[in-house]
Amino acid sequence: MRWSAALLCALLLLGAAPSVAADRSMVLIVSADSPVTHLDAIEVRKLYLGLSVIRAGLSLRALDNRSDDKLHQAFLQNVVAMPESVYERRLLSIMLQQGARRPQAFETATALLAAVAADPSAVSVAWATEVVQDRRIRVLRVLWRD
Amino acid sequence: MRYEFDVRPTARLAVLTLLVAVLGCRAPPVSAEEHHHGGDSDWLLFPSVEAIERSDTHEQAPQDDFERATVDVLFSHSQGRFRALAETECAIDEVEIERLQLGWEVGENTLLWAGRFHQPASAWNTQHHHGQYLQTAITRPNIEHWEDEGGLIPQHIAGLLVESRGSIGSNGGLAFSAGAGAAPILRIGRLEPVAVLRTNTGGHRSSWSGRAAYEPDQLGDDSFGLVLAQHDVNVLDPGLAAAFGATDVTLDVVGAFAKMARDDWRVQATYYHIDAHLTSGLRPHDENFGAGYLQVERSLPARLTPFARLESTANAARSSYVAFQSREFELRRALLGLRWDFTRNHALTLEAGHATTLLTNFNEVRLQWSFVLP
Repeated sequence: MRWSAALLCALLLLGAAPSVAADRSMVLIVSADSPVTHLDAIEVRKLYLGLSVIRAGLSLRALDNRSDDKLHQAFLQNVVAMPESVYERRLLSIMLQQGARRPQAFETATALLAAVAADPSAVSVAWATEVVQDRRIRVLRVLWRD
Repeated sequence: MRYEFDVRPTARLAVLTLLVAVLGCRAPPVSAEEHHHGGDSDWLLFPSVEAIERSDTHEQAPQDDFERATVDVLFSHSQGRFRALAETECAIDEVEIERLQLGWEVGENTLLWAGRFHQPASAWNTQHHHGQYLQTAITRPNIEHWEDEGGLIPQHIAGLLVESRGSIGSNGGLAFSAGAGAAPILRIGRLEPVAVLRTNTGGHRSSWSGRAAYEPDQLGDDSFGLVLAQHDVNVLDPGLAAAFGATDVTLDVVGAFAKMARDDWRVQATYYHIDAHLTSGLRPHDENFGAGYLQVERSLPARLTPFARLESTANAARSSYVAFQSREFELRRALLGLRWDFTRNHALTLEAGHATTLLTNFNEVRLQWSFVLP
């Protein structure tokens, strides 16, 4: 009986694992208190290139989620659409040209989500699985699906 | 403010090079949780060390072989719609605040600045400013030189600047900039812009400048545009005014530029036509000259970027403004170079060129290490 229960658990885990991986989605997030309800792709790209996007009188701030390498690669390919070296150089240029602020980078998802939750002007990206049950965070839309 | 250091040049260079090396080798402290950039305040350092060797065919060639170390310090602060920007260049013998701007975001795509800024009618300087690391070549084109390098066109203006951009079509963009304020004066043989901290002698007259650019992808690298400017330069050097036969020079500048990136290729082409109106009580006269350049770069594997640039002028050799203002102005220059981004945010660049000035011609080789922090 104990062996059959263990076998059943293993089968469930094996069956569940691919579906979790397949559903891995990168989502655009804001604070639950944020007035932002929609941002289109070009506005998100503008934000991450250091350009200004204003909603409800708030100048929005992009936060850079560096907690997971795969997420960062998906972000580079699907949000800013350029290699990392080019993206870094563009950020340096826009700061040099306009004094624009570079997106603040966070190395852990916990710190990033706390920063987003605390700031109604903050915008970031995260894995859907990391924010789906976080009441402090609101998902605006799916940016990319694995 | 300009500080003169009473230290031997070699010792100063050694100290600054050591400082640059320390900055380059030691990363700033970063917490495990977050990087300390991108908040309300942000800063960047652009250090560079450069060695230049010249072989001239005449005695009147510009300054002999020399080494140079500089650190460009950029600080920015944002608070809601308010923005502040300061750019300071520290060299061996001087510290100069190049830009000091206070800005207000009037709208999502419009910024209004007050302070000392780089005039928007320069295709090169509004892109690279003083950040040596961000320009592929070591040198900037002669017609884009700063005032303290013998530049012919005023670049630092004190006044108001507005920058705006909008969408056109599905993906394109239009970008506008316009500036108005106090132009440099011509004194002791060079243009002197309004200084931020140093005492100004006064006598500055008006300057306005503008730039309009079409960007096929409004968030991309390509742009095509026109620039217009008028700078009224007061000649305050009595000796120069007497020899020059003019107490005032009005420079009307009209230019066009194109910047394109395709696959691994990048091309920048710019041309300016300059009308100089020299006025005095005795013999006012008008003259004009042109200057342009074409730079081509190619990205190769191993982070290598070969580049080439051609600069040329028209009628500049016959211009009394050019002759009196900058005897070292280059009528032509051809250069080849290779940049190696040997690690993240660090580059070594080798550049070899041949230049012809009003007086002579010479060859030069430059080697530079440039980087950015943090």
